[in-house]
Amino acid sequence: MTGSGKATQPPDSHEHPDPRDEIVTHLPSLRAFARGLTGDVAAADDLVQDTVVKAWTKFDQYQAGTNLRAWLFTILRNTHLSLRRKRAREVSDGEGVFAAKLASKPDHDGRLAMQELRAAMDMLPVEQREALILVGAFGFSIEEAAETCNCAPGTIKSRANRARRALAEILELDKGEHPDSTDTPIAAVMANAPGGL
Amino acid sequence: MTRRDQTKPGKAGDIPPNVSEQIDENLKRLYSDAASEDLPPSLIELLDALRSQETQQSAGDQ
Repeated sequence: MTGSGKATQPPDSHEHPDPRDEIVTHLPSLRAFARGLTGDVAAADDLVQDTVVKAWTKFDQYQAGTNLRAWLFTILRNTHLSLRRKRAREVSDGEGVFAAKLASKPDHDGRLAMQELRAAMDMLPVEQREALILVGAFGFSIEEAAETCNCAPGTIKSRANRARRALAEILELDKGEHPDSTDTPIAAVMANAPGGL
Repeated sequence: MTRRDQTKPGKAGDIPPNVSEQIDENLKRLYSDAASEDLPPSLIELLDALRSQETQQSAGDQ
């Protein structure tokens, strides 16, 4: 019992840690996904809270060893969709909150571009937006995103591609002959974008 | 095979791969910004409450 290796395990834990302990590690990306879906900081946090409660109370439906992240994202997505159906007439009216929050970041040239990108994302159908957020922003595999959205991998692929195409059009990025075109803020930022954060 | 990424490849409507990569890169920036924020205390409290509720329940079962 006295492990020579890990000394941090609580006395009552089994050799397999409680997978629910991992929920907290997914909360940051769940919040970001929720913001992408709702366009609103407060609504996103409410959505994450609902997701956590649902995940916790039906955790027996989670199959240990399977993809917890996809499972949590699925709950969040489905919760969002059912809320949307309930408020069918209510258009997201909190976009300004998220945009303003981004604008308040000391992100020099990037902030305007990020606002434009955010606004362009909000113009996409939610199915395309979620596919692109999962695959493009969070690096989900096509299969993982398909599992999350309960659809075929090919559907995710085409939704994500359609979303990228729409963004390129909205943001005027699709100017093949002018790779150095910087006449839109997003193009300017992209042209100067460093490799990472 | 010259500069395929700067022209429209294949079927009409496809965007050049470099544009596609740029979009993804910027989306990562956009959403990592939100994901790097501190979690609100209410979320942590919620998890604590769920766990302690369960601990009480399982203690009651025994």
